Amino acid sequence: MIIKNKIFIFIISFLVGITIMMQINNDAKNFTFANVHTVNRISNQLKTTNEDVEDLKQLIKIKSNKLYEYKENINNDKDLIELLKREIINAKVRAGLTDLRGEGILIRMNDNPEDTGNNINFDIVHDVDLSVIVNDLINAGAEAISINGKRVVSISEIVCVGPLIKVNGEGIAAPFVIKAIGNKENLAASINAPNTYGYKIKNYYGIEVTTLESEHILIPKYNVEVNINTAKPILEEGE
Amino acid sequence: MYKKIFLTVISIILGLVFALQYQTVKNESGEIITTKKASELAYELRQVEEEKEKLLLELDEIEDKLREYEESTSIENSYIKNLIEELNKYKLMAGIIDVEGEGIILTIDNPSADTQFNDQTNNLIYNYEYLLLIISNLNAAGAEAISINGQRYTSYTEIVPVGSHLNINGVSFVPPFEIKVIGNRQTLQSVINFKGGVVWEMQNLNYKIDIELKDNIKIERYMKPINFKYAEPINEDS
Repeated sequence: MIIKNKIFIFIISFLVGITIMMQINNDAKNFTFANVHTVNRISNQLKTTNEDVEDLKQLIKIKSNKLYEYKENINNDKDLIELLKREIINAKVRAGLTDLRGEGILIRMNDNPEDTGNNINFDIVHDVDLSVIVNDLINAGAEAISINGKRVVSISEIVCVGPLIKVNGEGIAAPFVIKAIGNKENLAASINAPNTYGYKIKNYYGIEVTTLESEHILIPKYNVEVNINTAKPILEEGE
Repeated sequence: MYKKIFLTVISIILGLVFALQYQTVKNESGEIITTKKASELAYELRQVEEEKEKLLLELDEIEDKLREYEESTSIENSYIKNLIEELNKYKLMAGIIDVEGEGIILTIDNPSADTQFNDQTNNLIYNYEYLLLIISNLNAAGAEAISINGQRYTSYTEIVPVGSHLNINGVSFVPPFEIKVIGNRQTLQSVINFKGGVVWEMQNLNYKIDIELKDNIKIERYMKPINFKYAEPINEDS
C-alpha cells in the first residue's frame, strides 16, 4: 500500500515537473519579445511600404509606356516634339499652371461679426487658419485649391501682412473664399465633421465657416511668373 | 494522518500555482498570438521592402533610358532642347524631379523632456500648424523646393497627425523634422530668424531649432503618381 502510494506520488510529481518546465520554456523562448505596439508599428510600416510598391508599379508602367513611345518615335523629330508638348501639358497640369474644373466645394470664411468682448485675436481669420484648412482639404484628396482666386500650389505662401493675408504675392482680405476640386462629400466632411479644425473655429470661436458643395468648381492657374533661379534639376544619377 | 494533511496542503498549493500559471499565460495569450503575428509581419515587411528596392532600381533604369533618348536628340535639334528645358522646369515645380542648389537645412525637435514637465501638449505632432507656418514663411522668402524628412513638399502634400505620428505624403514620422529648402540662403535665413516670427515664437516655447546654410542641397522628388479623378484642365493651349 505504502509502496503503491509512493509510486503514485512519484508519477504525479514527475508529470507536474515536466508540465511546469514546458510551461516555463514556452514562455521564455518564443513569447517574450513582442507586444501590441511592435505589431502595430510593423503592420503600419507594412501598409505604407505596400502602398509605395503599388505607387512604384504604377510609375513604372507610366514610364515604360513613355519609353515605348520614345522608341517608336525616335527617328522622327516631329513626333518627338508632339510627345514632348503633350508631356509639357501634363507637367503643367501637375504644377498647377492650368485652369481646372470639376466637382468640389466652396468654403466661405469670415471674421466673427459679433462683439464678443474677447481677445480680438480669437475673432479673426488668421493665416494659420487658412493654412490648416488648405492642409485638411489636401488630406481629403483635393486636386486643386484656390483662396480668393489665388491658386494654392507647393510654392504658395499664406502669410499675414497686417490686416491682409498675402497669397502668391498679393494681399487678400476677409471674407475668404476657398475653392477646392475633389470628391465633394469628402471635402465637405474634412471641414464640417466634428473635431475637424473647421468645426472647432466655427463652434468655439464663432468664425464664420460655411461650405457649399457644387458640381462645377472652376479654379484658375497659378498666375505668377515662375522664376526658378537656384534649384537645378538633377538629370544624371551620377554617384 | 499528519502525512495526509501535509499532502493535501501541498496539492492545494500546487493546484493554485498551476491555475495561476495557466491564467497568466491565458491572459497574455494576446501577446502570444501577436508574437507569432509579429514575426510573420516582419517577414512580410522584409519581402515587400526588397520588392520596393527592386522596383526603384527598375524605375531608375527606365528613366536613364528616357534621358538618353532625350539627350541624343536634343543635341541635334535646339528646339527639342528648349522643349526639354521647359519640361524640366514644370517638372521641378510639380516636384516630380530631383533638384539641387544652395539653401538651408532646418532641424526642428520637441523641447527636451526636462522643460516639458511631462506635458505633451507642446509635442510638435499636436502642434503641426507650426510646420505649415514655417513652410508658408519659407515660400514667402522665395523657396523653390522644400522637403520634410525626405518627403518633397508638393501641392498634394498633407501634414496630418495620425495617432502619435505625423503623416507626410502618407508616410509616418516622429520628431525631429529635417526641413531642406532650396532658395536664396540669405533671404531664407533672415525670414526664419525674423524676431517675432514663427521660429522665434517656437524658440520661446523651447523647441530646438537649428539652421544650417549649405552651398548645395539635394532634394528628392515626389514618388507617388497623381491621377486627377475630378479635375479636368480647361484651355490647354500652351
